[in-house]
Amino acid sequence: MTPLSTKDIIIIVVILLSETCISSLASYFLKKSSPADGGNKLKILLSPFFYLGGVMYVIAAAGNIYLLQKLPYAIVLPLGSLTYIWTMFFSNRLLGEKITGRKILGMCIIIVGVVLVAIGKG
Amino acid sequence: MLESLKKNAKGIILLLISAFSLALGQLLWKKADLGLITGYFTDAVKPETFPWAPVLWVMGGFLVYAIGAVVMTIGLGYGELSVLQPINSMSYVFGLILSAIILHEYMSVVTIIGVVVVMAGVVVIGGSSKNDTSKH
Repeated sequence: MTPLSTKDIIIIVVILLSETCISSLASYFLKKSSPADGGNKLKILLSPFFYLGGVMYVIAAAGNIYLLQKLPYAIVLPLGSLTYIWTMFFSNRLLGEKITGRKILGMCIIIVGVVLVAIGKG
Repeated sequence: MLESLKKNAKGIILLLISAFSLALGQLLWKKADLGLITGYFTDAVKPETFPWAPVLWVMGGFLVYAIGAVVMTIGLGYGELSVLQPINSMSYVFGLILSAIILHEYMSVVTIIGVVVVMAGVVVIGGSSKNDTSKH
């Protein structure tokens, strides 16, 4: 891996932010396509939101593969946890879910765990 | 907290199955050794010796991935997105465990601690629900 220029770093940050944001929105659309308790699950396959979410996941994965070519796995893996922060934000704005201390605590614990996994693998 | 875990149980279980499928899909791709397949297109691998097994592994990986996505979507219908989506992080845990068992990859002590911490975080998030927030 060659040293990164300022331009590289800007590109990496932009891709990281958009990739994690897209991944989080993808799960929002998947949820939108999913009927709540007791609904007919086959409806999922007829919902355009399901395919929109799927395509967005593929785009996010492409961004992730790009990052893996620029940065070591041990750095990309924990950075991917940004997705959970986006999800907390979008589920609050778009679905009216409350951001609780407990959710933030759980998310922080997960991020610490992912960082440890990455350190152990790196 | 136990009540919340029970209330979210369906969603949590489905998301765990989906995380496992994602990990299994990735493992199949790892096993496929993508270098062999790309080698075919760059003439590094000759057509008569082209290994078909990796192609099956890759297709199997896609299939498992697609099933995982459908299971995840069904699961997301059973609870809050902010509670269920972070359970995806368990795919790292399953991935490491599968790699250790099937590919005999080495797991360091720090990684094992990380795995346990991720699981603890999932339990903390899984135990939160709308009911908890109304008490505050």
